Amino acid sequence: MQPKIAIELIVEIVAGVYLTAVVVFYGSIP
Amino acid sequence: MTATLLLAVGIGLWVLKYRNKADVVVMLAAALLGTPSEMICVKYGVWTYHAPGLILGVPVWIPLIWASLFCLFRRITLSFTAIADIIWPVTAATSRKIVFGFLIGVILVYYLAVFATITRSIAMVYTVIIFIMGATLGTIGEAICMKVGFWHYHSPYFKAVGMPISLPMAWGLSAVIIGRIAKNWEA
Repeated sequence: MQPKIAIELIVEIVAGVYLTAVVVFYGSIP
Repeated sequence: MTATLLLAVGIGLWVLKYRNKADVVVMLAAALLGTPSEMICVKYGVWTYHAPGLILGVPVWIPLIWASLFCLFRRITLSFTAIADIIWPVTAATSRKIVFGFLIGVILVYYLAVFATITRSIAMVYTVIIFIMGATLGTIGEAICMKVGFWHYHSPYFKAVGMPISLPMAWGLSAVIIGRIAKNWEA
């Protein structure tokens, strides 16, 4: 149970970093 | 275009991997509610995007980022809720109550700070009155609608009236924000 939550959380953090990076680096490019 | 593609790919992979209906619903709701709100905010000058290829003032990727973000908010909340249940298997544990009581305190202090800021502005009387108007009339109106059965809240804090604790605050702040927008057109 606990490792599963840890993996979920890591996936979510990675997703958050990815979203931020996409908007920061490509948000203003057409 | 790159951002749109990257976000679309991200959403696609996420939906395919998890095949979670709630995720899809959150994504659709966030995109459908968030995008027009942004268009309205931009139209009335709340903020402006500086990027080429805008649609009604907002970048093409806006619906996708709303979808992604709110899906993520929900997922992170689920993870943290699960972690809280591991740390405190007993819901009534005092330490659990203290921690969440503190977090509720943080939210209240934040709202008080926001309120203190608006009441210090030039249009103080106007702002205070419109807040009270929105908070009371909105809440009363909503109470009437709920009595008639137009809608209901699934997890109301005030169980007797069936309303969330944040409702008057939400109505009040909405009234202040919308009133501020209208104020630009008065003079």
